[in-house]
Amino acid sequence: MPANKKYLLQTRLGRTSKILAIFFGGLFATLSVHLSLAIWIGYAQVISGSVFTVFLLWVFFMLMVYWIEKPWKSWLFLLVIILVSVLGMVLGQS
Amino acid sequence: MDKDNRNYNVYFNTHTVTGIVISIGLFVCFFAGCFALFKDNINRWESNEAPLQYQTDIDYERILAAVENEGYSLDGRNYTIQYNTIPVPHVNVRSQPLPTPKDTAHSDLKLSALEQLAQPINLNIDPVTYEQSALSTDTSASQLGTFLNQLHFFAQIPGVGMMLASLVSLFFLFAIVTGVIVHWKKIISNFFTFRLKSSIKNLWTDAHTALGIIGLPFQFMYALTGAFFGLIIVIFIPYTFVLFGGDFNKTAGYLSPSFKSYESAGESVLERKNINGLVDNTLAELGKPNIERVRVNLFNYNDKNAHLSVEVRVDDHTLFYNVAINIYRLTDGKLVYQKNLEDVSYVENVAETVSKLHFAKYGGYFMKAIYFILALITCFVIISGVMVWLVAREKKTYAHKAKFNRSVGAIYIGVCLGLYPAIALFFCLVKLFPPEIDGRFGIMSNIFFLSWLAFIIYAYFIKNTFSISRQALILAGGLGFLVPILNGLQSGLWPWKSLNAGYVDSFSVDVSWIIMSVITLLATWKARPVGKKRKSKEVIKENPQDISESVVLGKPVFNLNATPGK
Repeated sequence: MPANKKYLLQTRLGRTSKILAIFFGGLFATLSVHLSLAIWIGYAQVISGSVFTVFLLWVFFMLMVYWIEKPWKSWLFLLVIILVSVLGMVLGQS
Repeated sequence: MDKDNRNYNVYFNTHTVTGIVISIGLFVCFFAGCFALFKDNINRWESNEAPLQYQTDIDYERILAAVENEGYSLDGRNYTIQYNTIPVPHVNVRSQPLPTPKDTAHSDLKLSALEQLAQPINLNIDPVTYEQSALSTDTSASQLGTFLNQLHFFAQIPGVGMMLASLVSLFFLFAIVTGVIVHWKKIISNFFTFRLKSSIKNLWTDAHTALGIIGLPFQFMYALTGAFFGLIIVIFIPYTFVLFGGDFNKTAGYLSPSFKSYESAGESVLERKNINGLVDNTLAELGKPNIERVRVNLFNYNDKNAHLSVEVRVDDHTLFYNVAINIYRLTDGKLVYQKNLEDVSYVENVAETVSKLHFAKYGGYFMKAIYFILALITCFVIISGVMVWLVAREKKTYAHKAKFNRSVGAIYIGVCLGLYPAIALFFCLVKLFPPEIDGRFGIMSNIFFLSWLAFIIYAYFIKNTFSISRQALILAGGLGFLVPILNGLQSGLWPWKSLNAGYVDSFSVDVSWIIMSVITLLATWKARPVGKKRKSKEVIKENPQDISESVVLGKPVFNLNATPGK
């Protein structure tokens, strides 16, 4: 039995926005978190660990995008993650 | 509660949509991957060869001299030199083009030398004559095992094939996680539920969930490692540009000691230690009699900062990490880095771990057999998932889309099950086509793809999924029986002779096809079409606490108190 449509996004714009969020938003958030961690924790551990953690975190962000109801809130969540990570990178490098 | 319902339905929908979108690609990955596990064995079966003893007494100095004799300038380059036994013994020498020198290091080079540096080197050298081998360096498949291995990551799609396969893997990971979320509260009961005599809808649902749970760790591992191989570049680009100023080699060096690199000093030094001596030192230090592979990497040849990396993989299936690496400074032979077999640190072995897990390079053939079975189970999970989707749409509410859904189902089953007879046909073709035909492998691979396409078109027209499956299995079983017969006729290596003569791969591939054909034809003979109205009320009465019915009825799985019929 297919999922009950009343719980799913009905607008094409909303659906497209979420798909873009899981692809690009999720990817950028994942990479920025890893870059920030590499600067703070150490290159060797994070780069070698990212072989597994990048995909796990990316999938986690995909889940979060769908867990959050509104597409704009999903984007906001990812943007906050990216901004915090970039801030971490800047502080770590300075 | 409404939030639970919403989450359930959203994740159920994402699981379904992701699964349907990736299903065909994923099926090809796993089904072709089953055969790719035995790539080398299939290649040796095809060329009627017995396994060769790995040769470790290669004269690397003569190899480099042979490359120079071919007109290449060696200085300043990095080389990878590796002896291989398949398809014939040869030593492959590769070197990436050097960037055009900007500094004074190479200012004395003439234009012709600069042009040479910009050329990649890819040569096969005969390890007996130390002259260029007649063996082609073309990386496209020229043997069946290699072809099937490449098919499992869509290498036949130029440029983007591998990345596409990795994206399929990534979304497979997403589908696995959403599937687990959807089934989480019933994961134990689903594991013990397989209602063979219930409705066809329940049968497919039970098959999908029970087998999905059995194969879950295996599928999770494959989704994760499969995503790595094609998407590694996406991960590494930001590291390279943000952390290492665009130097990709530095990023790669963190992944494995095999990818370590050394910067050129820009000063030519011709006096150096003998490469053969350093390779022999490494082998002697290891003291292992069975060597699976030796790979020699030379960095900045004839430079003051020239280094030699000797990477030895020992043939010992009791070890998970069976690679030892010694890196020497070439000018004085000083050992600058060492990774012993006992060094099992996470950071140094992560790439090796991924490769070992993905290609079942541990535990010997027993592990490969388990992988093979689990991969087939995964294929069944994929098919049953799509069948659940199709059967759920055989309702009046979907009547307006009935024709479309039937066509989608027919094409889907045609693609998936059509691959089996197409592969069996390819195994027959390699024994039928004389080796001296020009473009032999290209013709055979075209026949493979055309026969697969023909079956898909046929499936589209007949529509009946039972008939499509049955005919695919009969074809595959029949062709599978022909494989050992054609091999025997072509090479004289009949199964009752090949094993005693030492042709282990010829024997094992032939016998595997006989076993697969028997199982396939037995399954076909036993298979009966099932009506969608065959639901047995007695079965449900016997299991009143059966809660998996709620999935079919579209109720959230969070409702553990759901009773049948409500």
